[in-house]
Amino acid sequence: MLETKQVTKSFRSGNSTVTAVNGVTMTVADGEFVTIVGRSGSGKSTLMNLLGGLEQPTSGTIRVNSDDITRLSDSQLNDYRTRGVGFVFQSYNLIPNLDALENVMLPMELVRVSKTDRRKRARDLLNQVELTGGKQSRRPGRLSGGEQQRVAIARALANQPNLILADEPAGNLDSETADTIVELLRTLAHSQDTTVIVVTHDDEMAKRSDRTFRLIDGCLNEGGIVPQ
Amino acid sequence: MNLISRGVRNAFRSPTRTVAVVLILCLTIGLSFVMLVGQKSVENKISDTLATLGTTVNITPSGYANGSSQNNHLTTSQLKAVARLPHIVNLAEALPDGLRTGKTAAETSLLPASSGEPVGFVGTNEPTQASVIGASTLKIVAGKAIDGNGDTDEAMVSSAMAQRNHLKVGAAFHAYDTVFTIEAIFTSDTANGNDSVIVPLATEQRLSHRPGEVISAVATVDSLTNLSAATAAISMTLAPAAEGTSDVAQADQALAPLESVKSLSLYSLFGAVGTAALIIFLVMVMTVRERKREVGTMKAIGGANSSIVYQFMTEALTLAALGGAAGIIVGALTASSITSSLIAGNDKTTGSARSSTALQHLTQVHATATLPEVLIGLAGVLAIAAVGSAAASYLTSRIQPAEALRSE
Repeated sequence: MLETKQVTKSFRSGNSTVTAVNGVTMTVADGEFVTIVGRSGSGKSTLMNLLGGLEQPTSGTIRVNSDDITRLSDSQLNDYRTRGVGFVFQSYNLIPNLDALENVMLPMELVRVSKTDRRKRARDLLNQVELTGGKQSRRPGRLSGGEQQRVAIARALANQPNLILADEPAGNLDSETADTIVELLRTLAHSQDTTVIVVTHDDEMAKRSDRTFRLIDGCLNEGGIVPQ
Repeated sequence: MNLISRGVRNAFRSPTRTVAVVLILCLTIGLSFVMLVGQKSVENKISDTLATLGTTVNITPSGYANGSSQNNHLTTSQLKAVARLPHIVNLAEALPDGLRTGKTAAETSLLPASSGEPVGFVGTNEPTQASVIGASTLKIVAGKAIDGNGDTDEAMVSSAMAQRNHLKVGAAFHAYDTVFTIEAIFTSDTANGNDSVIVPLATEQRLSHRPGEVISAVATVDSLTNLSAATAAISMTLAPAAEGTSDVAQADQALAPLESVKSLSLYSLFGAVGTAALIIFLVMVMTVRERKREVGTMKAIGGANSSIVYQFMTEALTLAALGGAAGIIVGALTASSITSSLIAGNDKTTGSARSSTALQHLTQVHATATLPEVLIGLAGVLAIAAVGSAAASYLTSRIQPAEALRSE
């Protein structure tokens, strides 16, 4: 379970302070497929970074399975990002000089999975996201946007995390490919009991999630939940 | 694929950048290596030259000229003061006779070893010291050396002279209306030495009617380090009657261009190493900044700061190893000619500064790279690359992953 209480994140901008996330309180259960919608600049990506331990909140607590990740040391936070969370970014963020298979193997190397095991698991994951055959040995530059996003999803799943955070995963994709990616994430959540939180500005995608949170100027709407 | 192989592969990520960086490193490391080899070679040449100079000081009366009848002379009592000076371990005094110059009416029955030069008598307290007969080696090959401090009618002749005069140890010959007995036969490396008859100093002083007189002396100093100080002390003790000279004074002047090249090489070495270090550091700063987003991704998937630093270090070490290997090969091939050019460009010494045998061919330095120098060079390059890349990547790895991911 993921639970945030009064999470706020402020940045210094010149002489003024900008509050990107303002007192967000939310709870997401295991295996839920949740979307966070909001306009550009509403604080969605910042909230995602806070949930994933990529940056620390100015105040508030974030509990993941009862552990407060805002109190973790650097190495504990590192461990949380390696084993507890899988990230899917809008611009994929694959390592350009590694092929698809090597990109998926990379997180497993960090937790010292043997080379044979990580190769086998990476192949299985790529097959699962339907990137098969010779495409697995292609570098990102020789894959389409949809294919790159599949690799990114496979990489996010590499260490079997409890939480997948996807920041605009279909933002750069055509509608058909976007549908496929969303369906893939939904299936993951429901079939593997993995919590999936997707940040999007696309209301259509939000309609396909179990729950949707709407973020306006850093604040969740009343109750935090938008009834479908 | 592990961290090291990823780092190595990253080094070849952009072929143009790789070639450019390796080429620049090759030039700077090559120059550093040339300077290292040149500096070491010149240093060795200087120490080898100084080692062959010997630790002797020649003492001659002021204004002494060979063959002149107006020369001043020294006395045994004056030289006793020299023998008491610190660091003087031996003092060989010599009194050549006048047979060569016709200064005395004394005649000898001996024929010289070589035709043309007359036989010369030398009285000395150190009959086995080569310098008293103007030679650099003197070796007893038969009999026993005479006692230089005695006053006996005993003599030592060269083997060439003994052969020409059909003499052996124990044989007799005439000189100064005196019968001398040959106690020893020696060999030397000069014609002048082979035409000399060595007798005790007091004997020569008595027979040539020059009591207490000494024409030249050679003082031996305990070490090369003390040679300059001892030479100055001798000159001061005997002034104004005599002066002491050693090869060191000549060496200081003759070695000046080499010392200048040595300093130049050392400063250039520091400059080139500093430049190589700066290049590696700046290249890695640019590389890490270029890949800031990638660093963010690595951190987002759990990469520790240390593994990010190690990966960039491996990349820098690969580039440095390639540039270093190429630079060392280029440096080894050009070290000798560059060093020679530097020496030629700095050599303003006159020929007179190299009258000593030990100082001949002083500027002919053959700069060759040795295995320790290659290993030192490579280790230096890799150490610089490791530090430069670690510093650059550590600065970026410390930033928050979200901040790194936001960068373009």
